[in-house]
Amino acid sequence: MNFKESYEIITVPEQGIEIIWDHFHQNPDFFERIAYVYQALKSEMKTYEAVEVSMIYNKISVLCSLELVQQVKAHLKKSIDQSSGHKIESVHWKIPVFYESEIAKDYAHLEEKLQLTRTEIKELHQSRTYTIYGIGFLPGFLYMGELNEKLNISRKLNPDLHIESGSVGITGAQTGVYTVNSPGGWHIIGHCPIPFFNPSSENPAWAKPGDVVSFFEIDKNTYELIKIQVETTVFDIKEYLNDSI
Amino acid sequence: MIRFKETGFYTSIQDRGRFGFRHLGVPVAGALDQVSYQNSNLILGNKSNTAAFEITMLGPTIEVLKRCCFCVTGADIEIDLNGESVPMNTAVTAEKDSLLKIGRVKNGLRAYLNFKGGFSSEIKLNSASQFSGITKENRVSPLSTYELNEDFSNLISEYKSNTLVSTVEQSELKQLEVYKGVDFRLFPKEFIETLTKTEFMIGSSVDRMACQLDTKSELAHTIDRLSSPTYVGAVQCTPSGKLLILMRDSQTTGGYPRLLQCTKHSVNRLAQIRPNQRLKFVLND
Repeated sequence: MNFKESYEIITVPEQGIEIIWDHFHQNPDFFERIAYVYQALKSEMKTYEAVEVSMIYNKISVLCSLELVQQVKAHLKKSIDQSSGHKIESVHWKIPVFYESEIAKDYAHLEEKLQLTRTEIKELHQSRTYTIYGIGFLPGFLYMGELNEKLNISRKLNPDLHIESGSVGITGAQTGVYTVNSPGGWHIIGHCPIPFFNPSSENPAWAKPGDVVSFFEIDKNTYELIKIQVETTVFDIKEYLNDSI
Repeated sequence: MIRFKETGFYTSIQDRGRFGFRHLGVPVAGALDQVSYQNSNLILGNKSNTAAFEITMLGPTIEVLKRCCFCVTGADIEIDLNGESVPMNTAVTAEKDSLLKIGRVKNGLRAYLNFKGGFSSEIKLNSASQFSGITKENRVSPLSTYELNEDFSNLISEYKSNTLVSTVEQSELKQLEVYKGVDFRLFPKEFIETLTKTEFMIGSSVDRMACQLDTKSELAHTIDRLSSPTYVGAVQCTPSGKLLILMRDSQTTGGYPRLLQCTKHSVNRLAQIRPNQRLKFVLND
């Protein structure tokens, strides 16, 4: 399928426009091009106040006034034309997970449903590099995939009322880390000591759609140490970029 | 300074909202009824983004520890200053050591209490709007205190209550203006009949995230798509046929398809609709 012919622009009345790509599942190369279009559009529109460009999976959403729609569409067409062969700005984050945390309380259920041992579940979760498909659900929450199909489990029928910030969850082909305390329906397999969202910073999140993430296991001591680093603000997320580990 | 002796049912600090962080999953938040909120700033001659207290159902009791000027807009609500009733939509002066009691909402759902010159509160990501995970608290807590900003200007704006737009209506059956939503085309054609001819009942859950309507089995569907962007005023349709109208605290992405989209004015009016009231959609083309 041709990327340039697979999208539709839909008007969101009084809000702006949404661009949707069809045939997303059949064309794995589409995502990188959508992320390119998103980054280009975001940078073109950054001087305008009251314009919000965001993306998730196969959709880009642009909130803007009616007067700006034609301009957004022109930039959109240009970046779609330029999207082939362009590499997106993308970094690889290596994120520590304490899989033996007492917060990870869904192993018994997972072991039974998936017919896997705890060790196998942990290893399968660490065995892949995941793409960030978008940010949403909670401030700074990253939608990541695709999980190994052996870990595929549907979300809980009755969501837990309290999932602690930092909980690492899986559901379907997705994995994600809860960034604040919240209710949630994903199965929890570990705890991540590093913050994903800092509302006191002008740049509150370090990751962006198109970046990739992999997870590695840490023991209790390392987990406690990173927590202290975070609390005393000596923690630096740049240490978790792939090339510096 | 003011001190909250009692906070009422649910009182939170809100302003125009939080802009520029939607791509990071930060909801816009802000006063649910932007019209009534802005009226409070107009009446007091405040800057348009001066934060106010959003009151839901039952108002707070406040000790006023410094002479100030305030007003209350939005839902019809009783206001008692030192034992005397004072009018809504009017700038009122309260002397030092006054007791301000805001009572129960009589019509509508949310009222806005605002002070001339504003008050100091936590600003996060350029907004005072309280939201879990962004500000320390998501609502005003008992005994909390706020410093009133100094404001030496005597100018109170000339806006009179009868020139203000109101979002609070007497009618029992609300007509809600909507457009087709982003995912409208995915739904069966017969849905349009149900949507425009049926009366919907507002459910018991009308919080800052969403306004839930009663389930209509005729609207049940099996549309299942990847998570999508959401919009304030988007009407999501769950597989069982329950409509959820997203309000300003709703998450920025969601899985349910977006059947309708409310006008901005409809969203402000929805902020004043109470559980068990009925509504009908009027579909704009």
